Amino acid sequence: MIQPIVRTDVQPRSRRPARRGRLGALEFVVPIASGVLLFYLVFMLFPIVYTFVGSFFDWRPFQGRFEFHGLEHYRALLGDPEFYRGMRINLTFTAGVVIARTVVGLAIAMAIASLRFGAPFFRTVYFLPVVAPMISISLLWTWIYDPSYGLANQTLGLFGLPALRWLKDPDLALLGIMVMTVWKEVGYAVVIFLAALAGVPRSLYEAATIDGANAWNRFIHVTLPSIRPATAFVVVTSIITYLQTFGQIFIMTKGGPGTSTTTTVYQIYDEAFVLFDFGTASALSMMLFVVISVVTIVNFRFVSGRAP
Amino acid sequence: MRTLHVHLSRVVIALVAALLISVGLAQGLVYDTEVVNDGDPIVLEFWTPYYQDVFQSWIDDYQQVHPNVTIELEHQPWGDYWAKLPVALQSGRGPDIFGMHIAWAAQLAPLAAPFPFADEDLEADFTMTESNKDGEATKWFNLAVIHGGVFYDRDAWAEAGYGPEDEPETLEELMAIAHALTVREGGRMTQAGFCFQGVFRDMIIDLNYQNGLWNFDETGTRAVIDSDGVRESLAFMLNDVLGPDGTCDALVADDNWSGMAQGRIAMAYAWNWVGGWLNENSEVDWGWFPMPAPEGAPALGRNNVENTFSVNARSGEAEQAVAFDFIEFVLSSDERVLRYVLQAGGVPTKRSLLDDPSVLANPIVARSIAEGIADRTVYAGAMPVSYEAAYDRLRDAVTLEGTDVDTALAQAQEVADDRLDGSGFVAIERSYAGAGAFR
Repeated sequence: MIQPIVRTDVQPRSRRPARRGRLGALEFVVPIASGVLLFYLVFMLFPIVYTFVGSFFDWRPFQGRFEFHGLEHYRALLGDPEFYRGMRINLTFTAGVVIARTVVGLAIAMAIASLRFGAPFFRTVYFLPVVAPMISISLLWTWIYDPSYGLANQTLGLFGLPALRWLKDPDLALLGIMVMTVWKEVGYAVVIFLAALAGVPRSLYEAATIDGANAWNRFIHVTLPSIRPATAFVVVTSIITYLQTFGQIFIMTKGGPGTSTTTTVYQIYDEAFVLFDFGTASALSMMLFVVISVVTIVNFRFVSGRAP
Repeated sequence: MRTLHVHLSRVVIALVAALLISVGLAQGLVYDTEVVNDGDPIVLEFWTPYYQDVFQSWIDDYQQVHPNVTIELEHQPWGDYWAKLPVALQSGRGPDIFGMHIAWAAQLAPLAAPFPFADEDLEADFTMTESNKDGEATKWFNLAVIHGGVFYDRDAWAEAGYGPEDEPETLEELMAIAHALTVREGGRMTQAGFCFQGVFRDMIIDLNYQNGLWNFDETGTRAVIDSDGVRESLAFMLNDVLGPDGTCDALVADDNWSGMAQGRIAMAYAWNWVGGWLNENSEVDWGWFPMPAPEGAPALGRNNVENTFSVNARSGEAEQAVAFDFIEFVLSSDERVLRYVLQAGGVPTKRSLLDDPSVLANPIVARSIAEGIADRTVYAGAMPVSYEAAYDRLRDAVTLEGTDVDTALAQAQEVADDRLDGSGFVAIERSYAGAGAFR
């Protein structure tokens, strides 16, 4: 008869589980989640709600005014040509930079991805401006664009071309800021697209080649669909970012010359911190919030093919 | 008869005594505080966007006399300062003492504490005390009066064959010299003969005053921009100076002082303080003369005041008391006020400094005092910075956007009306001594 094996080194189980570690992972998740939620409520939701409420008041803190104003700010803005001009400039800037950043970023990423060696070096080089402070880059490009001694006009002079007024020209100032912004930020798109391109199976390209697809066909029918989520990410995050552009405009042109670079965000700053009219600034902020939301949703559906 | 004589004598004696007593009472500021805050340690915060070296020297002097007091000075960039300061003061967390500028008086006056000094004592020592007030209360202090004029590069003048004896007295003479000094190479202006870069508004306002025109209406609450007078001034600026055959080009420099420092502008309309700036930031050997005015002009232009600082009305009682003691310590000392006046490059408001050799070493100030130039300029009051946007709009419309003058003036008028509405600003230009000669 086989005797059962009885282990004598096992401690008897107690009837109740140990108190320590009872909640398991929740002990870490709950405090962290609570902290994140609190942070979100205090620093994000509360200011948005406060701004929304303030937009219905004649709110001028330095004159001690906080009187209910109803929809007057919104009515005034919707009837103000300056508001539409600011929004048009905002949308023009955003559209131009988003398209350029996406297209140029993808082109650079594809070029780097095709390299046999040196890819990490070029990836780093293109990403360096991304991590540089916007203020420093804005100041640098202000010097580059200086009409009298800037590098831009010096370069034009080498080719016998006339000097341009760049940031002093109302027809060129916005374009100049857009070029600077793309130069600085394209590296971010490059890195995203490089990662996406690395995830496209080689077998798809091989199959397409066997089916007679040329390089362009492979790009259109294999590459683009495969990296669609990355493209959607780049486009949507770019839209949200550039609809709120402020730093480079504040440094480079202060909304000028004239009003040629006065975006809605700059108008908000002007209303709040030059005129100290917090009510109008709040209403402008709310309207920009609505525009950003609508544009983001529409673009997300268009680019990714599904709702956000 | 004898009784009448005695009576009259007594009246005269009483009047003389009253005069002597009043003079004796209004003896000016005298600093004799030995202990502040009962000798207990106290720390004050002081923010300023400018004159930080002068303010620090005052602080160092004060802390030597009162070692229990620590005043921490924080210098902030100009642009950020005027956005951050009102918000900080309003929130109750602002500095105890803050650097002040008259253009921001509308926002800052409600947040500043009134000085506890008697008007008579201040008036005994200083001129233009009315420019320190918010209503009836003195809430800041100006120590120098500045105004516009023309700076010129002596070397550029000499190269063109001009000397100090050729100083123009009329606009026509000025422009003749300006054209002679204007240099173009390959279609580009490499030296501007005369510019007003960066001071567009001040140029228009000065030309208006020279032509006997007020810049505000009778109520003092509405700026006069869309007017024939301004059209006339604008015509000179746009055609004679900035026109195709003019003496200045927008590409030459962003502002006059940088342009002069870089040798690109030979003559520039600018304000007094530019002299000190050029001395510190360039090698330019500059000269100065008042802006030429038409014969019989009732004024040479506008003046403004360089303010010192104010005290936070929301600071604690102890902090305010020490702050006011610090202010009295400064204002009562000729030597300390002199440091500020020399830095500002203006005519001192402290009467005792008007013949100080250091002050008179500044050629602008010496001439301004000797020829009474400052007295022939108009103080319009604490013009709010927000209404400058009207002139910026006008400038951009006519110089950059190609807008016709009539439309541009109408737009600028709208902006001015909007910005001044509700600001509480009332111009006091019509209290100018020569107001009778204005149209």
